[in-house]
Amino acid sequence: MKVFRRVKQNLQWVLINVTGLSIAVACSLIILLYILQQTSYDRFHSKADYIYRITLESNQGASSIHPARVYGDLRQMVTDYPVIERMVRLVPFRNAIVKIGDQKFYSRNAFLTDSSFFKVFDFKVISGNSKKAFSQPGQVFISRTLAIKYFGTLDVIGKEISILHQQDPNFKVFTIDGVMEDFPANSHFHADLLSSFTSEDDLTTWSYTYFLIKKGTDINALRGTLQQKMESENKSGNPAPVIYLQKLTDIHLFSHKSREIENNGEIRSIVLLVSGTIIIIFIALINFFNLSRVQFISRLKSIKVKLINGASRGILAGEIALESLLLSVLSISVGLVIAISLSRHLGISIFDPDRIVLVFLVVLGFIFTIALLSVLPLFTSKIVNDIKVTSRQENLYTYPLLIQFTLAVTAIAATIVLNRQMDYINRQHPASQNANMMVIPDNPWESIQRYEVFKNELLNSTLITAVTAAMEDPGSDILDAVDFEMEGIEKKEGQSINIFTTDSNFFSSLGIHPLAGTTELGFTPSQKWESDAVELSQLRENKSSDKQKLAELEKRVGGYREKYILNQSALKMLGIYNPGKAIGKRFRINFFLPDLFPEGEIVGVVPDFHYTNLHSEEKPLAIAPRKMFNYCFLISIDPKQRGKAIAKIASAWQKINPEFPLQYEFITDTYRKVYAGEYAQTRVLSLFALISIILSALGIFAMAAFSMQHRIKEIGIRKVNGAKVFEILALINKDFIKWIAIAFVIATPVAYFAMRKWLQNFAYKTELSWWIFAVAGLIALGIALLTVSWQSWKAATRNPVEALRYE
Amino acid sequence: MISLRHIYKYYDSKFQRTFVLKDIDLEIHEGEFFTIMGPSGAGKSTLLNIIGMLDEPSEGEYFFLDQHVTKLSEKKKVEFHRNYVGFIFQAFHLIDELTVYENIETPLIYKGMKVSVRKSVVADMLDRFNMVAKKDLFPAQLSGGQQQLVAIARAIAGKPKLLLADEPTGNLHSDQGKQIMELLKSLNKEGITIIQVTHNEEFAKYGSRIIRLADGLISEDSGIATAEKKTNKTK
Ligand SMILES: Nc1ncnc2c1ncn2[C@@H]1O[C@H](COP(=O)(O)OP(=O)(O)OP(=O)(O)O)[C@@H](O)[C@H]1O
Ligand SMILES: [Mg+2]
Repeated sequence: MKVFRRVKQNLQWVLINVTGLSIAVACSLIILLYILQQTSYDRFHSKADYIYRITLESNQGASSIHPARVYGDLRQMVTDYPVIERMVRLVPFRNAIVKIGDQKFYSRNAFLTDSSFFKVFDFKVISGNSKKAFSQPGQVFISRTLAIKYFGTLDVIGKEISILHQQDPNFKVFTIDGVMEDFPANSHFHADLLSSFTSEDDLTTWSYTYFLIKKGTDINALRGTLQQKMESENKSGNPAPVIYLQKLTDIHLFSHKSREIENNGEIRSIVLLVSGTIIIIFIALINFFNLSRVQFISRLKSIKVKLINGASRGILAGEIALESLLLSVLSISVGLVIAISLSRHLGISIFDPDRIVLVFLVVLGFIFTIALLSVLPLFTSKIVNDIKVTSRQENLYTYPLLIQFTLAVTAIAATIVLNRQMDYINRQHPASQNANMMVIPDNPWESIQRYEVFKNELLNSTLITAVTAAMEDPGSDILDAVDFEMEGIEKKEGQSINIFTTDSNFFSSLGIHPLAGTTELGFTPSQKWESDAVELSQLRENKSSDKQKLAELEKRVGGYREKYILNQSALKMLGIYNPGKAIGKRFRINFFLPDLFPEGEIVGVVPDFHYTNLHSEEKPLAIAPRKMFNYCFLISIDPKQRGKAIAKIASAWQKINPEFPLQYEFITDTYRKVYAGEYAQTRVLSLFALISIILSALGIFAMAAFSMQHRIKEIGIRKVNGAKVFEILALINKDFIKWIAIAFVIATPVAYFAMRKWLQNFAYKTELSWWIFAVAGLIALGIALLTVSWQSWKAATRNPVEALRYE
Repeated sequence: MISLRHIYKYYDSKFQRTFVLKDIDLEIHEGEFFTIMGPSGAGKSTLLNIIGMLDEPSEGEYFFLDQHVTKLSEKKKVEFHRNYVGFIFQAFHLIDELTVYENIETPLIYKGMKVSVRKSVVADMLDRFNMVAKKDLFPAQLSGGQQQLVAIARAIAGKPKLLLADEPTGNLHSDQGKQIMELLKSLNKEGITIIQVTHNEEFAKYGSRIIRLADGLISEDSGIATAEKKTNKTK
C-alpha cells in the first residue's frame, strides 16, 4: 500500500525509470537472443564440428578472387585422402526457373547435390527415403513450403517438376522423390529444391563443396597436404591457388567471399549491437542511479526518522530494495512485452527451452543490479546521526552525467559517420540516384539471346528512353579474369585482367564520362555476328574441314576490330599514368573463343566507375561491347509515365519471352540490397543513438526538476535581490554546459577511433571530418540545454514571493 | 538509569578543536522528569543526542541501564532504540509520506510487532490523543500542535522507558505548548523517564530537576541545589 502511494507521489520518477529500464531490458534481451541465434548457425548438424567447406583463392595480383565455391571435380581428393570421409557438392541452378504444372517461378534456392547430402547434413526429411536420396539421376527433394505452395499437399512423391538452369536452353524434368522440412532459419543456406546430378557435365562446374573430415584430424596439416599437392600439379604457369578449409560453423559470421550462397551475417554487426546495448544499459542504469540518489536525498529525513524509531539499516535497505523490486517488475514486464513483440519480427522465440535460462538470468541480473543501485546510497553516504535534515546536492550532475553524455555524444557521432558512409558509398555507384532506371537482373540464357529483339521492341515506344545491358547486376562482383596482350606493355608473370562486357551504350546510359578517348563506340557487332564468331571459333577448334563454311564465316566475322575500354585501375596495374597515352594502343584479350574478342584498339579510358560493390577495391577492367554475356538488362523509363512504361516493358517481355516470368526492380533498390547488412547496422545504430539521447534527456530532465525544487528558495532570494530571469537561467545552465563540454572532450577521440575501425571495412570511405564531432557535441548540448532550460525557466519566472513562502 | 562520566564532545576543524561539551558528569534516575536549559549553541541538543545514542561522545563513558554504551555494537543500539527510547523533536520529524496512523505504527513495525497487536496499540494511541478522526490524514494536513501529538504518540507507542524531547514546544504557541507539557507530565507519572530540552522557564518547571548548560559546561543543577536545600531545611 505504502509502496504504491510512493509510486503515485513520484510518478514522474517512476515513469522515467520504467521507460529507461524497460528499454534497457528489451534491448538486452533482444540482442542476447540475436547473438544466440547468430552464433547458433549450422550447429544443429550433429557432425557440424567435422564439416569444412573448401575454397580456393586465386593468386593473380589485382585480379585475384576468393569465391565461396570451387571449380572443377574434386572427387579425387576424397579417394586420395581417407581422412576426408565424404564430400557434398551444391551446384546452384543459379537463377533457375522452376515449372510446376503451368506455374513458373524463379528460384535461387535450387541446387544439384550428391547422394551424401543427408549423410553429412542433418536436415529433416518428411517423406521419401533420405538414405537413397540423389543416388539416381533425375531425383529431387523439395521443401515443405514449396510442396504446400505449388501442390497444396505434402503428398507429392512421384510428381513431376521441371527446372531450367540459367545457362541452359531447355527445361529438364525431374521426379519428386521426397519432401524436406524447411531448413532452419539458422542454416547458412536454404534449399527449396535439391536434385541429383544428371550428367557428367554437371561435375566440372562451380560448386559449393563440403568435406566431412574424420574426427581428430589436424585440419591445418590436411590443408598443407592438399596445398602441396595442388602446387606440385600446377602446370598453368600462374601461381597455384591457395586452399582454404573453412569450418561450417564459421561460415555465417566470418565468411564474406564472393558468390556466397546467401548473404551471411557479420561479427562486426554483433559487436556494434553489443556496444549499442551496453551504452543503453549504462545510460538507463545511470538514470536510475541518479534518480535513486535524488530520491534518497529527498527521503533522507524519513530515513533518519525511521532510524531513530528503531529501524536498522538492513531493514531500511530491505524496504528500499522492495520498492526497487516493484520498479524492476514493472520495467521487466514492459521490457519483456517489447522484447517478445520484437522477437516475433525477428523470428526468434524468447521461450525456446535453450534460451529461457539465459533470459531468466538476464532478468535476474537486472533485478539484482537495480536493487543494489537503489540501496547503494544508504551504505555509501554518511547519514549524519543528527536529526537536522540537510540536503545539499551540489555534486549531483557530475560523473554519472558525464559518462552518460560521453556515451550519447559517441552514439550520435557514430550515427552521423555511418549514415555519411552509406550515403557516400551509394553515391559512388553510377545511376544510384536514378529512380527511373529499371533492372531486369540475372536473366535466363535464352532471353539474353533475344536481347536485341527485346531492345528494339522497347525503343519503339517513347516511354522508354534507353535500353542497355551488362555482364553483371549492379553492385555485384566481376570475377572473370582473362589473359591479355597490349602494345608496349611487358606483362608481369601471371598478370590477367577482368573482362566486363556491356552493350555499346552502357556508359552514356549510366552517365559515366570517359577520362580519355571516347565511350561512343559507333558501330558494334550484332548478336548474329556474335553467334557467327562463336561458331567460327568452334569450327577452328575442331579443325573443321568445311572450307566453304569457314570462309563464309570468316568473311562475316572478320574485319571488325574490337573497341576496348579500360578503367583507371587497369591503367594503374599497367603502370600508365596518363590516360591519353593508352588511347589507340593495340589490345586484345585471350578468350577461349578467339574470334569472339578479336584484336583491336583501346578507344577509351573510364574512371573506376563502381558498378560493382565497394566492399573491395575496383578490379582492373577491360570492357568490350558484347551482348551474349549480358545477364543484366537496364532500362531507362520516362519518369512522367512510369506506370505506362512498366506496363509496356511487361507486355514486350511477355511477347518476346513468353516462357519466362518477368522479374524487375529499380536500380536504387538493387544497390541498397547489396548493402542490406550495412544499412541494417546503420538503422540499428541510429535507433540506439536516438534511444540513448532520449534516455539521457529524460535523466537530465529529472535531475533538473529535482534541482529546481531544491533551489526554488535560492532563486526566489536572488530574484528579490534583483536578479533577472536571464541571469538565473545562465547561472543554472552554466553547470550543465561545463559537464557537456567535458563529455565532448572525452567522447570525441573514443568515437573517432571506433569509427575509423568501422570504416576500415570499406575499400572506399568517407572522411572523418572534425565537424561531425562538433555536430554531435552540439546536438547533445542543445538537447541538454533545452531540457534544463525548460525546468529553470519555470523556476526563474515563478513569483519569488510564492517561492519564498514555500520553505 | 543514565550515567555520564567525563563526557567530552568536540569537533576538529582544520586549525582548531571546538569543544561543545566539556567534562559532563551526570546521573539520571528512572522516573525523573529532567530538564536541560541553556543558551543557544550551549550543547543541549548534542547532549540529548548522546543520551539518545544518536551521537557519540568524543571522550568519556556513558552507561545506560548499566550497559557501557560507548562499547555497544550498532545492532545493540538499534535494539535500545526499539525497546527503551522514544524521541520528540521541535520540528516534529514526522514522515511526510505516511499517514498519521502509519507514522505511529512505524516503530512498532521495527519492533517486530504482529499486525493485530500493532492495530490495537495504534488504535489505543489514537484514542488517547483524540486523533481517531485524523488517522488517515498526512502530516501536512495537521496543525503544528496536532503534529507534535502524533510525534509523541509515535514516541510512546513502543512503550519506551526513556522519552527524549528536544524543544517539543518550540514550534507551538503557548496554549498548545502547555497541553503538550501536561501530557508529558502525565506520561512521567505513568513511569516514563523524560529528559527535555527547553528555552521556556515556565515549561522547565514541569520537570523534577533542571540543569543549565553554558558553553558545554553544567553551570547549575537543581538536583544538587534542591538536595542542598533539603539538607539545609532539615538542618
Ligand atoms: N557537526 C558539527 N560540526 C561543528 N560544530 C558543530 C556540529 N554540530 C554542532 N556543532 C556545534 O556545537 C554547538 C552546540 O550545538 P547544539 O545543537 O548542541 O546547541 P543547542 O544548545 O542545542 O542550541 P539551540 O538552543 O540553538 O538548539 C554549536 O555551537 C554548534 O555550532
Ligand atoms: Mg538544540
